[in-house]
Amino acid sequence: MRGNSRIVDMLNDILTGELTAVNQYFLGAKIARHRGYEHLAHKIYDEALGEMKHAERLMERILYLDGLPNVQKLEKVRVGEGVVEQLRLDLDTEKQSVQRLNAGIELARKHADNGTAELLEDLLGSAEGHVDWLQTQVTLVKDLGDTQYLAQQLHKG
Amino acid sequence: MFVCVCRAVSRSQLLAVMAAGADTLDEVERTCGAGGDCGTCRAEIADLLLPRPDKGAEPEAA
Repeated sequence: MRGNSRIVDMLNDILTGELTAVNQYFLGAKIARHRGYEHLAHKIYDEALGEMKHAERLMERILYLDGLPNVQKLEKVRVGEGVVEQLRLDLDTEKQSVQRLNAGIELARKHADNGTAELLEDLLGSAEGHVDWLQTQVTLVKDLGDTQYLAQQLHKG
Repeated sequence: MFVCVCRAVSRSQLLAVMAAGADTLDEVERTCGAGGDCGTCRAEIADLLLPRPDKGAEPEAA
Protein backbone atom coordinates (compact mmCIF):
# COMPACT_ATOMS: atom_id res chain seq x y z
CA MET A 1 0.00 0.00 0.00
CA ARG A 2 1.08 3.58 -0.58
CA GLY A 3 1.12 5.56 2.66
CA ASN A 4 0.59 9.24 3.19
CA SER A 5 3.91 11.07 2.65
CA ARG A 6 3.49 13.19 5.77
CA ILE A 7 3.07 10.01 7.83
CA VAL A 8 6.19 8.49 6.26
CA ASP A 9 8.19 11.70 6.94
CA MET A 10 6.96 11.74 10.54
CA LEU A 11 7.91 8.06 11.01
CA ASN A 12 11.36 8.81 9.56
CA ASP A 13 11.80 11.71 12.03
CA ILE A 14 10.95 9.36 14.89
CA LEU A 15 13.31 6.75 13.42
CA THR A 16 16.13 9.33 13.40
CA GLY A 17 15.50 9.96 17.10
CA GLU A 18 15.50 6.23 17.89
CA LEU A 19 18.72 5.57 15.94
CA THR A 20 20.40 8.50 17.71
CA ALA A 21 19.21 7.12 21.06
CA VAL A 22 20.62 3.66 20.21
CA ASN A 23 24.10 5.16 19.73
CA GLN A 24 23.84 7.46 22.73
CA TYR A 25 22.64 4.78 25.18
CA PHE A 26 24.97 2.11 23.81
CA LEU A 27 27.97 4.40 24.29
CA GLY A 28 26.64 5.43 27.72
CA ALA A 29 26.41 1.76 28.74
CA LYS A 30 29.94 1.04 27.55
CA ILE A 31 31.35 4.10 29.38
CA ALA A 32 29.48 3.17 32.59
CA ARG A 33 30.86 -0.38 32.36
CA HIS A 34 34.36 0.88 31.60
CA ARG A 35 34.22 3.01 34.76
CA GLY A 36 33.07 0.05 36.87
CA TYR A 37 29.36 0.85 37.23
CA GLU A 38 28.20 -2.61 36.12
CA HIS A 39 24.69 -2.35 37.56
CA LEU A 40 23.91 0.92 35.80
CA ALA A 41 25.64 -0.25 32.61
CA HIS A 42 23.41 -3.32 32.44
CA LYS A 43 20.24 -1.23 32.66
CA ILE A 44 21.42 1.32 30.07
CA TYR A 45 22.51 -1.49 27.73
CA ASP A 46 18.97 -2.95 27.88
CA GLU A 47 17.56 0.47 27.04
CA ALA A 48 19.87 0.72 24.00
CA LEU A 49 18.65 -2.66 22.76
CA GLY A 50 15.05 -1.54 23.37
CA GLU A 51 15.58 1.51 21.18
CA MET A 52 17.05 -0.73 18.48
CA LYS A 53 13.87 -2.83 18.53
CA HIS A 54 11.77 0.33 18.27
CA ALA A 55 13.84 1.36 15.25
CA GLU A 56 13.20 -2.04 13.69
CA ARG A 57 9.42 -1.70 14.10
CA LEU A 58 9.48 1.83 12.65
CA MET A 59 11.47 0.62 9.63
CA GLU A 60 8.98 -2.19 9.04
CA ARG A 61 6.07 0.26 9.22
CA ILE A 62 7.74 2.72 6.83
CA LEU A 63 8.37 -0.10 4.35
CA TYR A 64 4.76 -1.26 4.72
CA LEU A 65 3.70 2.29 3.76
CA ASP A 66 6.01 2.08 0.70
CA GLY A 67 8.47 4.58 2.12
CA LEU A 68 12.23 4.24 2.51
CA PRO A 69 13.53 4.15 6.09
CA ASN A 70 16.21 6.83 6.46
CA VAL A 71 19.02 5.18 8.40
CA GLN A 72 21.55 7.74 7.13
CA LYS A 73 20.46 10.59 9.36
CA LEU A 74 21.37 11.04 13.02
CA GLU A 75 20.83 13.89 15.45
CA LYS A 76 23.43 15.18 17.87
CA VAL A 77 24.57 12.33 20.12
CA ARG A 78 24.71 13.81 23.64
CA VAL A 79 27.77 12.49 25.43
CA GLY A 80 28.37 13.42 29.06
CA GLU A 81 31.74 13.75 30.73
CA GLY A 82 30.48 11.72 33.68
CA VAL A 83 27.94 8.95 34.29
CA VAL A 84 25.61 11.23 36.28
CA GLU A 85 25.67 13.94 33.62
CA GLN A 86 24.86 11.24 31.06
CA LEU A 87 21.66 10.35 32.95
CA ARG A 88 20.51 13.99 32.69
CA LEU A 89 21.34 14.10 28.97
CA ASP A 90 19.50 10.80 28.39
CA LEU A 91 16.47 12.25 30.19
CA ASP A 92 16.45 15.23 27.79
CA THR A 93 16.69 12.86 24.81
CA GLU A 94 13.88 10.62 26.04
CA LYS A 95 11.58 13.56 26.85
CA GLN A 96 12.09 14.77 23.29
CA SER A 97 11.13 11.30 22.08
CA VAL A 98 7.88 11.39 24.11
CA GLN A 99 6.98 14.77 22.57
CA ARG A 100 7.66 13.48 19.07
CA LEU A 101 5.62 10.31 19.61
CA ASN A 102 2.64 12.28 20.94
CA ALA A 103 2.73 14.57 17.89
CA GLY A 104 3.04 11.52 15.63
CA ILE A 105 0.02 9.81 17.18
CA GLU A 106 -2.01 12.98 16.64
CA LEU A 107 -0.98 13.15 12.97
CA ALA A 108 -1.69 9.45 12.41
CA ARG A 109 -5.17 9.74 13.95
CA LYS A 110 -5.86 12.84 11.84
CA HIS A 111 -5.12 10.79 8.71
CA ALA A 112 -7.11 7.79 10.01
CA ASP A 113 -3.91 5.70 10.03
CA ASN A 114 -4.78 3.67 13.10
CA GLY A 115 -2.07 1.04 12.52
CA THR A 116 0.63 3.71 12.74
CA ALA A 117 -1.09 5.33 15.75
CA GLU A 118 -1.18 1.97 17.57
CA LEU A 119 2.51 1.34 16.89
CA LEU A 120 3.44 4.80 18.16
CA GLU A 121 1.24 4.40 21.24
CA ASP A 122 3.12 1.23 22.07
CA LEU A 123 6.48 3.01 21.67
CA LEU A 124 5.15 5.92 23.74
CA GLY A 125 4.40 3.63 26.68
CA SER A 126 7.97 2.38 26.59
CA ALA A 127 9.43 5.90 26.25
CA GLU A 128 7.36 7.16 29.19
CA GLY A 129 8.60 4.24 31.28
CA HIS A 130 12.17 5.18 30.40
CA VAL A 131 11.55 8.86 31.27
CA ASP A 132 10.12 7.72 34.60
CA TRP A 133 13.19 5.58 35.37
CA LEU A 134 15.60 8.37 34.37
CA GLN A 135 13.71 10.94 36.47
CA THR A 136 13.96 8.57 39.44
CA GLN A 137 17.74 8.25 38.94
CA VAL A 138 18.18 12.03 38.68
CA THR A 139 16.13 12.49 41.87
CA LEU A 140 18.15 9.78 43.66
CA VAL A 141 21.38 11.55 42.68
CA LYS A 142 19.95 14.78 44.08
CA ASP A 143 18.85 13.11 47.34
CA LEU A 144 21.88 10.86 47.93
CA GLY A 145 24.67 12.82 46.26
CA ASP A 146 26.80 11.55 43.37
CA THR A 147 29.08 9.35 45.49
CA GLN A 148 26.33 7.50 47.39
CA TYR A 149 24.30 7.00 44.23
CA LEU A 150 27.25 5.71 42.23
CA ALA A 151 28.27 3.37 45.07
CA GLN A 152 24.94 1.58 44.50
CA GLN A 153 25.71 1.13 40.79
CA LEU A 154 28.88 -0.92 41.08
CA HIS A 155 27.61 -4.49 40.99
CA LYS A 156 25.34 -6.21 38.56
CA GLY A 157 22.16 -7.62 40.05
CA MET B 1 29.29 17.42 28.12
CA PHE B 2 31.29 16.71 24.97
CA VAL B 3 30.11 19.38 22.55
CA CYS B 4 32.30 17.97 19.75
CA VAL B 5 32.10 14.18 19.88
CA CYS B 6 34.28 13.67 16.78
CA ARG B 7 37.28 15.39 18.41
CA ALA B 8 36.28 14.70 22.06
CA VAL B 9 36.19 18.38 23.06
CA SER B 10 34.11 19.24 26.15
CA ARG B 11 32.18 22.41 26.89
CA SER B 12 34.69 23.43 29.57
CA GLN B 13 37.60 22.96 27.14
CA LEU B 14 35.77 25.11 24.58
CA LEU B 15 35.15 27.87 27.12
CA ALA B 16 38.85 27.75 28.01
CA VAL B 17 40.03 28.19 24.40
CA MET B 18 37.49 30.98 23.93
CA ALA B 19 38.70 32.71 27.09
CA ALA B 20 42.24 32.38 25.71
CA GLY B 21 41.26 34.35 22.62
CA ALA B 22 39.63 32.02 20.07
CA ASP B 23 36.70 34.17 18.96
CA THR B 24 35.59 32.63 15.66
CA LEU B 25 34.55 29.12 14.61
CA ASP B 26 37.68 28.79 12.48
CA GLU B 27 39.90 29.92 15.34
CA VAL B 28 38.26 27.44 17.73
CA GLU B 29 38.80 24.67 15.19
CA ARG B 30 42.46 25.65 14.68
CA THR B 31 43.05 25.74 18.43
CA CYS B 32 41.40 22.51 19.59
CA GLY B 33 39.93 20.81 16.52
CA ALA B 34 36.30 21.19 17.64
CA GLY B 35 33.81 21.46 14.79
CA GLY B 36 36.29 20.32 12.18
CA ASP B 37 34.91 16.89 11.37
CA CYS B 38 31.20 16.19 10.81
CA GLY B 39 30.24 19.77 11.71
CA THR B 40 27.13 18.84 13.71
CA CYS B 41 28.35 20.84 16.71
CA ARG B 42 29.25 24.06 14.87
CA ALA B 43 25.94 25.77 15.71
CA GLU B 44 26.44 24.90 19.38
CA ILE B 45 30.01 26.26 19.30
CA ALA B 46 28.77 29.44 17.58
CA ASP B 47 26.22 29.80 20.39
CA LEU B 48 29.01 29.59 22.99
CA LEU B 49 30.88 32.32 21.10
CA LEU B 50 27.99 34.76 21.52
CA PRO B 51 28.41 37.36 24.29
CA ARG B 52 25.96 36.73 27.11
CA PRO B 53 24.07 39.57 28.77
CA ASP B 54 24.54 38.02 32.25
CA LYS B 55 28.26 37.47 31.81
CA GLY B 56 29.20 40.44 29.67
CA ALA B 57 31.39 39.73 26.66
CA GLU B 58 33.05 36.73 28.34
CA PRO B 59 34.25 34.84 25.24
CA GLU B 60 35.97 37.94 23.88
CA ALA B 61 37.70 38.72 27.17
CA ALA B 62 41.07 36.98 26.91
